[in-house]
Order: sequence, then structure tokens, then C-alpha cells
Amino acid sequence: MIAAPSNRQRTRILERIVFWTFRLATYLVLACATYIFLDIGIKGSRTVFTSHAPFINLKFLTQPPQTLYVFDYEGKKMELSDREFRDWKLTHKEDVDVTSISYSAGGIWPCIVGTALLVIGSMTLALFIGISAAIYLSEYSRDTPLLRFIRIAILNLAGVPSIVFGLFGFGLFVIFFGWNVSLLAGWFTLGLMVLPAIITASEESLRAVPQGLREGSLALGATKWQTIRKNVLPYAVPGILTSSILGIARVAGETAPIMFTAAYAMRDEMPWQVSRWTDFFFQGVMALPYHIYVVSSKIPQNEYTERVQYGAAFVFLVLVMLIALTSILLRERQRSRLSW
Amino acid sequence: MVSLLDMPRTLPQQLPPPVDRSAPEIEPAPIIDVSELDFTYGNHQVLFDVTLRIAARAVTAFIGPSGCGKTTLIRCLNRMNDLIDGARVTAGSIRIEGVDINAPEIDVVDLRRRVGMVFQKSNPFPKSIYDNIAYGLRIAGITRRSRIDEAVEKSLRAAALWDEVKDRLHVSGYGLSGGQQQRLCIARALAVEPDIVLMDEPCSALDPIATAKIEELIYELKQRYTIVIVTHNMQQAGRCSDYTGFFYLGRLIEFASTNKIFTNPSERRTEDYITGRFG
Amino acid sequence: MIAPKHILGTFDEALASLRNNVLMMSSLTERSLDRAIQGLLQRDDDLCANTIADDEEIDQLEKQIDKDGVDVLLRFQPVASDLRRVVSAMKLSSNLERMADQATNIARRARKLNRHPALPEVELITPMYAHAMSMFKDSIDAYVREDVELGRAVVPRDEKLDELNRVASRRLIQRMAADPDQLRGYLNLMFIARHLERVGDHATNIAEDAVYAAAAEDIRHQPFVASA
Repeated sequence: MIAAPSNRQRTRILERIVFWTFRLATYLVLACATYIFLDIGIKGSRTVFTSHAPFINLKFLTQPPQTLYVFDYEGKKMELSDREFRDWKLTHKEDVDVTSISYSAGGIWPCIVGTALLVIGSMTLALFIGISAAIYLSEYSRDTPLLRFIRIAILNLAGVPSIVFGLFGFGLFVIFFGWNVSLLAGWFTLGLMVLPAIITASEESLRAVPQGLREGSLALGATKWQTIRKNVLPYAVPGILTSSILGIARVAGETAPIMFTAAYAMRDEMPWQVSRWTDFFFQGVMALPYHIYVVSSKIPQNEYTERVQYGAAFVFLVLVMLIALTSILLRERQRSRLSW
Repeated sequence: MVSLLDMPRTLPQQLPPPVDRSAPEIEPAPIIDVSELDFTYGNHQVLFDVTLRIAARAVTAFIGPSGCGKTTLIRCLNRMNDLIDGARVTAGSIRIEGVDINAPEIDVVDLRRRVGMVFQKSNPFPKSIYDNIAYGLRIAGITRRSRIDEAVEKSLRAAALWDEVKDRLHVSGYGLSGGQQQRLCIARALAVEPDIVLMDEPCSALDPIATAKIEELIYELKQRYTIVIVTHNMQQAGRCSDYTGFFYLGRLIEFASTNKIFTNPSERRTEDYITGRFG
Repeated sequence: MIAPKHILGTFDEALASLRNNVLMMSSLTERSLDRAIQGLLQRDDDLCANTIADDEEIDQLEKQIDKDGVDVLLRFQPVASDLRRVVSAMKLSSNLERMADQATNIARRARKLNRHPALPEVELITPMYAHAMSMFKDSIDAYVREDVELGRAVVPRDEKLDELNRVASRRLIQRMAADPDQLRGYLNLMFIARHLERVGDHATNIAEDAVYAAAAEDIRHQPFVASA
């Protein structure tokens, strides 16, 4: 029985409406993302790229932040960084009416370093603890009420706001353990924050490995750990690496957890300039997201600060993308080597 | 015209004895001794009072309808059921060469090396053919390259796969056909030199030609290994095995030489199952 | 002992068809033998002619049974009792066909004898015929009802038939020596007795196959104790 023509029309129209709803929703997402990337990209590239060789504003990337001094001199508008101003002052002794704007000269080099350190440390911690926990949950544990409780706890951890993590880290690592504002405190706080995602994704990757591989290995006389190490974990690694991509983006970009635990608004020494090697872990660092926050909200806004903000955001985006790209490339390489 | 009667005839001095294809009914030298075995999953008993003896260097087949316990029993022989929560032997014993394999002091890992298993769905590892076979050796601690090379060739020859793969040992195991993959799994199991090889429906996922090759392989292997095979295919049990056990609802209904089971079984239920009257 | 049905209905049908053909063939054979002997005893040429004509049908049945048997083996790969039944059916058909040939031979010789005056020695045939037919009927019965004891009991009776044959032969040879004019007639009678002895042998084979089908026991070629 062929449907009556009006019915056909109606279903066809419905189909088209639904299709276009989905399509428009996607385009909306695309539009938002494009706007953000374009905005940051255009404004940020003004700071990061220069019109003459080597086309990258190396000063921005390799110098620490300095105060900017803006003044008029002999009809010209001068914008000098702190050091430059002092040098200029040596040769020009007259008084000038300067407006000083913090953080708006120099660059963000220490922030880049600091974020990189924080990411590396916290991801290492999170991956180690996360994968171990995932192995336990997926390979060793039995379904008991305790286990179900653990799983609920992990799920809940994923929903904790990042500022709460920050406060927790502050209370436990900074105050109670006495680590003060330090890399260690930042690593642990950030690591804990990203742990649920790592655990869940790692567990999924482990479960995706077919049971036949485990049984086959055990039937050959392997112990459980041998089986996991040689026949399960290697094949779960692509999935785990994928999960770490999201983790890196989150760890690099969160401000709240590091605000009280690891980040300084301004620091003169670079992280490797420590007197004893153990001091390395107990020092605070500058970090990109926190720097953006400081420049955006702690000081009065003008065109100079805007330059720094967008420049920092742009660099930040590029950095995260590079890290993500590396992770994806690694995953592809692993995946091409084995498939089932 | 030469008459047929005039032609010289040479009679054999002694006629060869008639070939007796039926296995002897006398008790064979057993290597596995299952005695009054009860097995339970959680609260659910699946094996009841199973007693049988499996002969060395012969093929024993377990047949029976789905859910009759034959797969459970074969997995008890290398304690693969230990992987399942709540599965345990609740009565009776399994002795292999006189040793009770469920005793607490038994090393399960060692047991599994000596009692190999081939699964229904072939499960080659996502490694090269060479690494697949070397896997068992490496986990046993053998790392010398020459020794592994030797063992790989030996196992592949034993599994009748050497000629087909000898020039592509570093290709992934997944590049082989279904039948070849199963033979690879057999070679992998043989590499650790077990005494007993358990096969859980090894041919159920294979086409007839691959199945025939594996049956031929089983026939050759039984000269050196004891083989226990679970099969749904009655003709296969009839062709391949020397002894057959018929299981139903967790009990061993009849256990005898294959010839007897398939020409004149003692139990009514056995006859009804093998002739396709139920099950 | 009714076995439950096979799950495959076509299997049961095929086995039933095979069995029916065997039964049909055995009753046709019985009729042929009966007609042949009656043709001899009542000197009725029509009966003899019918016997000879019907042999064709029995031959075709043998071919059909063999063909159907191979078909069942091919399609269903029977085991145990099913296998034994099929194999016995095929062997039975061969024996029945030979029996029918014997009946044809008897009918031919009866026709020849009917052209000449009756010989009193025809009486020698009657007890042999009765014995052979009873063996035949029992052997078929043993097959149909899967009666192992009945089948076993048929085998020693062949000895008696052989004895009757020997007695008849001796008597006929004496008559041939005494009355050479009737040589042909006596010779034909001797052959008829021989044919009946062969019928008994075939009945024995059928009985042995019946025991095999029912009990998986091969009772052929065994030295037996002469029946009482």
C-alpha cells in the first residue's frame, strides 16, 4: 500500500527539517570555533609575527615579561621595555612623562617553559597512576560492592570543579605537606584533576583488547602480568594516547588549579636556575593561562595589554595543538603497526 | 591359448593379518584420570560425577548437545576455568600422570605449559608469525635467537604450515586465511612442547578444506601428543578420534572406542543423539 | 521397540521408503517362488510364464533399493543402527534378486517338465519347498521385526535343507540309472532341487543380515553345531 501523497510529502519535509537542524547545529559549532580561532589568530599574530625577517617576534617568545614604558620624546612615541628604557635613560638624562604598563613588554618565555613543565610532570603522574588504576580495574578486580564504590568515586572526581581542585591542592600539598607553591604541588593537583578521564579512557582501551588474546597467552603458560605486559597493554596504548590528548589540553589550560599551588605572576629566575637540584621541584613557575589571567584582570586594560593577551593566547593555542599533533602522530604510528 | 590355470602363481607365504581399525576395548594406558568430578559455576552445578580415563598418544573426542558440559570439562584439564569467578571443582579429582592438578601446591602456569589449548575461534596474536610462535618460548625465559628459530621451524613443520609461510615469517599473523590462522595457533601451542593438546571445536569456524587439513594434522600429531577434542561435528568425531565420550546434561553417558560408539553404542541416549533423533 | 523419530523428517521418509521397497521385493519374490513351484506341481504353464515375466520387476526393485541406499548414505551419513539398516537393506535386495532368479530357473525347468508326462519323483520337491519357504518367511520376519533369536534360529536349518537335497539327488540318480529314457526329466528335477537348496542359502544370508542389522553381530561363517 503506497502512502497517500500528503503523507509522503509530510515525511519528506520532516526529513529535510531534521537534516537541516543537525547540519545547522554542526555549522554553529564550527562558526564558534572559527570565530575564536580567527579572533585569537588575527590579533595574536600581530604580536607574534613581524613583517621583517625572521617573521617571528623572537623577543616575544624568548624574553621574560617586562614593564613597558610609553612616552613622547621629540614628537615620537616611544615604547621601550624596562631594560631598553634604562639604557635609554643612560644616554638621555632629561625627565620624561612616562606611563608604565606592567607585563606589556618583553615576552612570555618563562610562561611557556612553566606550562611545559607543568604539563609534562602532571601528565606523567596522571598516566602512571591512571594506567595502573585502569589495569587494576579492568584486569584484576572482581565485581564487589567496594569496586562499584570505587568506580562511582572516580566518576564523581570527574565532575569536581577545577577551583575546588585548586583549593584541595592548596590545602593538602601546599600547606599540609609543606611543599609551598611549587611544581610538585602543581603536578599533583593537575594530575588528580585529569585522572578520571585518563582512567576511564584507559580502561576502555584495555577492554577493547579481545579476550582471545588474554586466553591464548594464559593457555601458553604465561602469568597474568606477563599477559598484560606483552599481550594486552601494547595494544591498548593507541587508545590511551588518544585519551591523553584531551588530558594535555585540559592540564595546559586550567588556571584555577595552579593559581594557588604552582603559579607565580612574576618570577625572575628560570626554573633551571636553582642552587640545589632538589630545589627544582619545590619552586613555583609562571604559566601561560595564569599569565593571561593576570594580564587580563589584574592590571588596567589598554591596547598594549591587549597585544600581550592575544599574543599569549595565540602561542598557547599553537603549543597545545603541537602537543596534540604529536600525540595523534604517535597513535597513528602505533596503530599502523598492529591491527586486528 | 594359455589357460589361466597354467599361469604361475605365487601365493604369499603368509597372509597379512586383517587390519583392525577399531581401537582396543581393553583399558588403554591413561595419562589423564578424571575421577567422580563435580564442577560448579557459582551456584549452578554443571558436571556431575564424571569419571573417565584419557589414553596417551590417542585422540579422544567429547561429543554432546550444547550445554552438556564438554567444554567445561576440557577447560578443567588445563584449569582455564580458574579465570571465571566462582567456578570451582566441588568434588572428585583430575589427575594428570598421577598428579592431582587442583592441589594447592600445583603451579598453574607450569600446568598450562604442559597442557596446551587451541580455541574455537582462532586467536593469533597481532604480531608477526615468528613472534606468535616465539611468544610461548619467550615467556618461558628462552631468549637465544638460534633456539627460537629452531623451535619456530619445528612447530610450523609439525603444524603443516612451514611450507606455506617459511618466506614470510615476519608478516602479521592476521594476514593468513582462517584455516592457516588455526594451524598457526596449533603451532604456537606445540612450540612449548606440551604433552597434551586440548582442542575446543577447532574447526567450527573453518571451511571444509581447512577442516580436512586440520583433521589430517590431528592424525599426524597423535603419534607424539595426547589430543582431546571437543566437537559438534559427529562425522569429525567419527573420523578423527580413537575414543569418544558422549555427554548429556553434565553427565558422561557413555565412553568407549569410537568404533563402538558409532556402530553399536550401549546406551539408548547415545544412539539417539548420534543418529540425530534428539539434541 | 519403536525408535523416536529423527529430527530430520526426510531421513525417516527415506528409511521408510527403503524398507517398504525391501518388503515389496520380498513379497514379490515369495510370490514368484510360489508360482514357480505351483506351476511345477500343478503342471500349469501360465504360472511359469508369469514367474518368468515378473522377474523383470524384481530386478528393477533391486536396482532401486541399491540406488536409494547409496542416496541415504550420501545425504544423511547414518551411524549405528541406521547405518546397519541401510547396509542390510542393500544386501537383502541382492539376496532377494538371486532368489527370484532361482524361481525363474525353477519355472523354466517346470515348463520343460510339463511337456512330458508327470514324474512321481516330483513329490521329493514338496518337503524341500516347504522347508525353504519357511526359512525364507522366517528370515524376512526376523528382518522386519528385528527379531535376533528368530534370525539366529534360521541359520542351522539350512543343514536340513542340504540333507533333503542330498537325499533327493541320490534318489534321482538311482532313477536315472534305472530309467534312462526319463533322464532329461530327472535331471531337471535334480536341478530344481538344487535351486531350492540355493533358496535356502539365500534365506540364511538374509537371516544373518537381519541379525547384524538388529544386534550389530556378524554371525556369518561360524562353525555351528548341527541342530537337533
